[in-house]
Amino acid sequence: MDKVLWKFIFLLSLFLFNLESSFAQYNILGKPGLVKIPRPTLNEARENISFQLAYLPESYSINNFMGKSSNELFYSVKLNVTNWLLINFVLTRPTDIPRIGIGDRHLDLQLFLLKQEKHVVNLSVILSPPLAASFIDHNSIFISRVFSISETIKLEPILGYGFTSNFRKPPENFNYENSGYQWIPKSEFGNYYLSGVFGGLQANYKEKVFLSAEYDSKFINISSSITLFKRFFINANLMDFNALSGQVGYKVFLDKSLKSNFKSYD
Amino acid sequence: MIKFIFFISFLLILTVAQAQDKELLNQSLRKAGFEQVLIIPVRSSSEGIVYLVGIEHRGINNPSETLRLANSISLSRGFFENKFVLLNKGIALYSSEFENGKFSTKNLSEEFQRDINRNFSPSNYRFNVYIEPDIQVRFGDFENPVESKTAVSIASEIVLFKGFSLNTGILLPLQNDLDNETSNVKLGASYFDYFSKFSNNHYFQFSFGLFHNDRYGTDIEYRYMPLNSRLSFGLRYAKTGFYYFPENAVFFDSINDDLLLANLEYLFPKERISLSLDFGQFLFADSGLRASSFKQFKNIEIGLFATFTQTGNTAGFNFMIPIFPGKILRSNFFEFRTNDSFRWEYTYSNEGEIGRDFNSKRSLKNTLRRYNSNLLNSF
Repeated sequence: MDKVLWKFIFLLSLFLFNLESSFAQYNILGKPGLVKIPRPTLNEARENISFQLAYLPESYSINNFMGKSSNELFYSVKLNVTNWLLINFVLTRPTDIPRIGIGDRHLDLQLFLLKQEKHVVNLSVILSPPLAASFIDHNSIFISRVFSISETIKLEPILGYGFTSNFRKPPENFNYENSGYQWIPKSEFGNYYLSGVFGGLQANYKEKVFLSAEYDSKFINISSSITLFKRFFINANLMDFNALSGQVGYKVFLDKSLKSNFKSYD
Repeated sequence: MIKFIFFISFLLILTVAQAQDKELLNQSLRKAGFEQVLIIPVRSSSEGIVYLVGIEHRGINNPSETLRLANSISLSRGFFENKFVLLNKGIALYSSEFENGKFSTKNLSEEFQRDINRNFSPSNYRFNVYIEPDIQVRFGDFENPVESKTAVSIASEIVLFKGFSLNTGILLPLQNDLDNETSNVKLGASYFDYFSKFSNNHYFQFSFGLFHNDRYGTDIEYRYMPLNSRLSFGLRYAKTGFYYFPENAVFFDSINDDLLLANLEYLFPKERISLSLDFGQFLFADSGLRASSFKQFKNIEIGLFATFTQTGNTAGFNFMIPIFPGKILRSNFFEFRTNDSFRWEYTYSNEGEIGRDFNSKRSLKNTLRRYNSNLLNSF
């Protein structure tokens, strides 16, 4: 426990070198969020695509592919399509389970439906289309409101609910009588990701330094993140005050002119 | 008499000065990568002569960027009022004018259409060579989860006359654990391609030869796309067969596969999102429909699609990106660069041939999408 905490404090100290650019904190599936839970605000002005690799230790794993738990790696790609739509693709690769093929492929859409400037609260939903039927499919709805404590410090409490069942086809090896589309409790596949009420609190300093604490419907996690060179970001998370997890990612801005074309003419 | 000589020499100086100006603009634009630069005087104004400039740049995949580059170069050379005509293989699409920070677009009058045609010459094109990766990936095998075949394609597009080009190249295989094709250097996709516009808003393309995705044969496509309309539609018919290169041989299956697809597309210009619906018969006599959406970024396009056919349902994504670093070598007659619009597609299911297509890299639908004039001001 102490050792873990010291490591976390060491990681926090990395903030000293990052007072440069603005960004959002991302959760382990690559969405704007805290550790596991997402947030309903999208404060990135420019359209971008980001690539992320995240690690979760076995005791806190969320995919549990075919009922087997293991340390999990998540490769995710997040695309900001517009200021109200975000598309997220996640490939899960358990590290210790042989013969799984490429891994579990998951796709979801996050819609930003209400904004606090107009509607008092921010409201967003995540929808997993039942097309691919991944083991981490989840559907949830959540709200937040950003409070300015001072000019530089902002606080965002978040509250949400994740549906405990998914509308989907059962996987092949699970011997269901009805093989068509139906409501199936997520827990039957060992999927506890956002099942029930979740919530969290995120604080940021000038949108540059992020600190988060959350209840992910099962555990309490805390987290912090940094960005380097405007595009490269690192998150460090402490899961249930017990184990470390983390993620690294890279962001590409999509609406930039190509330098090679405009060199010396602009 | 002296007066007359003076007058003549004055006229000569004027024309020479004007010619030099145009030559400077021509040189600057060509230096920046433009291949067709057709400068036609329109009228004179208080700030000098207004020109209509036909421009074509094959290394930029976004017409809005092409126009912006041409405009900024023209301004820096003292041409303050210009109309630009975007060309694709010498075919004039429409004329655009930069006013108050915005492009306004019009169809080209017949008179200027003739002037553009008269000034066009295929010899203005550089001999271009472009490289891009050729990647095929299949996921899902237990022992080898990512099976792939990669190669480097070195290709060239040679415009033979207005609208008509030969695309050809070679393929240098790098690695292959996907199928049993040999690792010899092969002929890349090689086909003739005819693009035309037979009146305003009606476009036509005819190609024949060896296409991508191991198909050969003919491919005909028609598209109705008013330059500023959100709605466009098209029809495509292709009759093809399968071909591949085993060791020291060529294998051609007979041409007996019909592809007949109708397409309907709607653009949301502010979001730069297109919703597109293809329905009809895909390759391998598989009929059904494919719904796609495309988001256009400055030099990138990202799409998602879902396919529902007799064979089954699937979904996936595709993208179009410029390959880094762009221009490598450029002289007056030669250009060596990476492909400005490399396309790649991933399909979730690889069980059965669901809604397969070929040659989509240069289809009329994909090319014209980026030319919609509603998009010019929304980047």
